[in-house]
Amino acid sequence: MKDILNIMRFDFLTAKPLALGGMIFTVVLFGILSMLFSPLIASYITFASMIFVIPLQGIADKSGFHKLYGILPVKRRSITRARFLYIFLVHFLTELLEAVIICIAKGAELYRFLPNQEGETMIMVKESFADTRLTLLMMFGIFTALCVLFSYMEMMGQIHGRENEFKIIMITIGVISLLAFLFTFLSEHDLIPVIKLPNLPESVSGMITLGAVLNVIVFGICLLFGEITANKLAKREL
Amino acid sequence: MENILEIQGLCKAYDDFALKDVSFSLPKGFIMGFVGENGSGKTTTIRAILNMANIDSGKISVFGLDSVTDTISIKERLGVVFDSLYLAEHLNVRQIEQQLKPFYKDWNSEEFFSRIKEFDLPDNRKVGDFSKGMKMKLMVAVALSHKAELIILDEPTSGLDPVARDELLDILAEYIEDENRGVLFSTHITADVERIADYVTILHNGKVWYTGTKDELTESYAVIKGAEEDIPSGLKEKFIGFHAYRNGFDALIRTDNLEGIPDSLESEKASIDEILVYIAKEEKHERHS
Repeated sequence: MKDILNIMRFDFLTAKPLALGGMIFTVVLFGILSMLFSPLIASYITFASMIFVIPLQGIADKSGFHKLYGILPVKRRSITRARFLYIFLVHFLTELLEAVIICIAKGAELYRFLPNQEGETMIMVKESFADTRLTLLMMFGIFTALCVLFSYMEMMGQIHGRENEFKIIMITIGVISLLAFLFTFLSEHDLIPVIKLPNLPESVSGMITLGAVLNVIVFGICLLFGEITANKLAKREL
Repeated sequence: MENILEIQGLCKAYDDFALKDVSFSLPKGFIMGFVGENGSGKTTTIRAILNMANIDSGKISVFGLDSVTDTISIKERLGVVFDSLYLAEHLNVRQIEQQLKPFYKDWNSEEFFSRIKEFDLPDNRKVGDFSKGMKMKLMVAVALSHKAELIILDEPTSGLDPVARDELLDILAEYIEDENRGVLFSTHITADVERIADYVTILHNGKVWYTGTKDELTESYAVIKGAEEDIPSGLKEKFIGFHAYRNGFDALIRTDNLEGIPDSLESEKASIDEILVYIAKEEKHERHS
């Protein structure tokens, strides 16, 4: 476990000089916007987490990290697993940061200081501040979608090579879209029974529980993708 | 003498190249020059030592430990310098130190920064902007900062200017003053080997052509020259890399085969460079009219 933490720290320190400025800018910008206009906006900070993940592979290729991985006293499996946990952790910490910003935004209610308090836009702003469920849904939804997407891209990139990553992602999106279209088409024509998703929780605490469950599931998916990748790469030479 | 590195019967086949039964050993306290033409298998052997390449058969021991099962323990005590930098190019020396130190139990930050100072490396500049010589020194500083007992260098001097090469060789000479250490130094610049190596292993087409002390190598081979018609019968078969010209020939020969050669044939001690050239010529059987 210590090896994995060391590699995660290594990845963070690699990305930090390139990503920290962008992250701070995004957090400050979206933080202010969310406090003024809608806590929903805080959810978009998750997108900034990609700047801590995307540059890593380019840096690794350019800097010959495969050689470094060959000389560090760390198991190869740990190096692979660490990258997936790193992806999860970056997204998770961003999510926590968003939660803090949302809490501050809702507590401070800075929209009160905006002009034209009786205007139509302001009514929407007030509604947005009142709807905590939607805010949480957005936050958990974007976290889940992005974290799973990045883990999947990492798995595909490491197994099939970065040069094929874009092609694989396109094929995957194409297949998913085709299946979704087929499913919609068949259910609309009553050829298959319509699957109804269970209703989302009505309460904020229920939504938080759902979010916690989603976090655990996403963590599991990252571990699974990491394990699949580590198994595939175990026999390959560095 | 205790061996710090031992390779026995190493075989590794790729589609277009194979290491065949590579065996050699490096005793503690010595520098071994690992030489051979490009593509002879030097880097593949080093990758096998580092467990970066899966071997087909054979056994590699480093510090008496198995290179596959004990790879983590070995790497704690091993320093490696490659022909190109393996560190994040956008980081400076201080950031690199922060990254690497948790991986090594014996990492000594004081030692690292004193080496950085000694090697005149700026600690606030991106390492990607360093010259090749500076990059080499940085990798050596990393190796020395975790008290590596064996340093493996893969073509470290290729592309270095003479001053930087000289500095690197001085660093290695100083490092080996501790007799519990060892250096395996792969290169095709034989002048470097002539200067600092105690042992030499020559790899040719994936096979060990020679392994032993440098002095024994240079004393065992000579370059023979003269007119082709002066070659006594039966001697030509003993030539290595026979090279015929319109006015004569030259070839490499074992010094123990020099007895009884006519005075019309000249012989002189062969340098490692000449030995490598004649080994390469051996398969070509060159004849120039």
